[in-house]
Amino acid sequence: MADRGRAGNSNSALAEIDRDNSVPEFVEVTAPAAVTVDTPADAGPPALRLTGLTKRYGDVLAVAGIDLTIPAGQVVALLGPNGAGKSTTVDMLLGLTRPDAGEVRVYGDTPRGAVVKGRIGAMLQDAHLLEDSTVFETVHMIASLHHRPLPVMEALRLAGVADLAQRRCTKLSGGQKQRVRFAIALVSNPDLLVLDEPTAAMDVSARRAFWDSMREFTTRGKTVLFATHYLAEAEEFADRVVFMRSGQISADGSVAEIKALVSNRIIKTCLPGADPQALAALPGVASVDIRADLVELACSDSDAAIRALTARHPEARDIEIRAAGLEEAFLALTRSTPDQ
Amino acid sequence: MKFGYLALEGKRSLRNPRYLIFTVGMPTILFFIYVNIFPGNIEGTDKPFSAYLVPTLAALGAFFAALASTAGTAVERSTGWQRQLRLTPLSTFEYLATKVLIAMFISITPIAVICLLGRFVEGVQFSAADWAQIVLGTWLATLPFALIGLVVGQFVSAQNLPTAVNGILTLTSLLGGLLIPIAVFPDWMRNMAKALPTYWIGEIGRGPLFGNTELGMAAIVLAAWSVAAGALVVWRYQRGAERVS
Repeated sequence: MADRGRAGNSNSALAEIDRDNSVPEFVEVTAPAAVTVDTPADAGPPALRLTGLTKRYGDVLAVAGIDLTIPAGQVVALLGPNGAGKSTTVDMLLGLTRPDAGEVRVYGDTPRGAVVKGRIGAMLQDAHLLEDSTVFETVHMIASLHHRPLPVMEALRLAGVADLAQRRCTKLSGGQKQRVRFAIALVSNPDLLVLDEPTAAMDVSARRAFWDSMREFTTRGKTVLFATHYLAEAEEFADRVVFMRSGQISADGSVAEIKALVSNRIIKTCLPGADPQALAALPGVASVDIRADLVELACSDSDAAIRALTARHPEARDIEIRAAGLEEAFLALTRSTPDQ
Repeated sequence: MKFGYLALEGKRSLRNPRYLIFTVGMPTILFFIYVNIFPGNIEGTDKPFSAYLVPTLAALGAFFAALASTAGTAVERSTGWQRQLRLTPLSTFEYLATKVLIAMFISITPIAVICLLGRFVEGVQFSAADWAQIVLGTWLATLPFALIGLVVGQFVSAQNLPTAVNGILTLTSLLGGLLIPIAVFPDWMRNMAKALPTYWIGEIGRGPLFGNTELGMAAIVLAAWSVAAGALVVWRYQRGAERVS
């Protein structure tokens, strides 16, 4: 899924992030050029275009003039620490919050225009359901408001709540409510689906089931923008990752490109009685993390580090070397200025 | 108008008969208490005091029902349900108009109950035309209260809602002469009552008792409140899409 239809990342346009600078330069990535191949919508306007989008709350600049274009057919993860401006951005592109400056275009239309035409659907993190109505009644009512809805049962099935159709919304678990919200977002049959922390209330298996139904939706050539705290979800499901920090987009690229920003690797080994100072002094080692007998070395040069480690500690066993994941990239990208 | 939305809202209002306890129970209890305390005629007429109580307490129950019903939108605002609805083609007008229609639908019950009790338990006599004026006039006069309730719902948090609604209902019914006739008020309070919609919703139903001399004024004041509250709530709803937490 992550590399769906991508032409290849060999020629990364990513600039190096200046990690000493408290505000890193924007990482310029041309919106990944090749998108899904067989999406006819490619010919039309992009699914989403934000231009100079700005929102201020009192003295706080929540969103500081961001530009973002999402071509039709992409699955984009929006990441960032709390307070980065993700939710405000989502609210503005849905037309729930008016920008102070800048413009939102959804398939060339205003957010409200896109809502009325049913082109944009959203799963809101905070929206409760009607307490005294059943799942079917609620989704059916929402469907009745739209011009070209999916059949209600199909939306319920896609969201994995078909068996809960006659259940009162009060009698649902957190994860079930979240999937009903997903059905509400799907029933308008939108071309762009916006999800704000979609799996926040779900346990592991519910999360898995959610992304399975999501995949069924995206194979129809739909565009998806989702904000999440679960980096594994972004890594697994997104074609493209957009990092926000302090109201700005601090990095934008494919998962592979974002990971490449953090070039280091991790060496993991079992080494009883290790001395952290001695390990940190090894060539190529940036930082050391020891939990019981397990040692993790974050390396700037893993080749030098592994040679020095095995020479000095031939007793080290179960050695693993892996590329830093999105999580390490996330930490690196957000480390230099801790939020607030 | 979106009928799918109206239909679900109608169904929801029927599922929740809790509101009847207050909006029907309160005027009913007051009716029987007052009938027993004041058994005589309305001052200066040959009509029994119960004939004064029927339109007055029907108005009380009707305005309670209308205002409390639409004020309940505060809950939909704070739970984020309104944000969900804003992501559908449902327009501001359609959302607010549906809420007003449901509120006015709910306010039929207290009017009907008080009129039936007055007619068949206390034997209050009006001509058919007068009954029609009491029932229909009072019912139409709930419009400004439905709109005022929407204003409350768009400004007050769900937490403070019960306090706000109870405060508004108690004060405006008292000052508008629905609990005590304004004839016993000092002059300044009587003048103030005449600015309140609660006084005029009562006057519409009481018109037949006093020769219908004030109906024009009642229409003007109630229309003015409707326009003011309607404009305020539309303005507020169109700006109030932010997250409420």
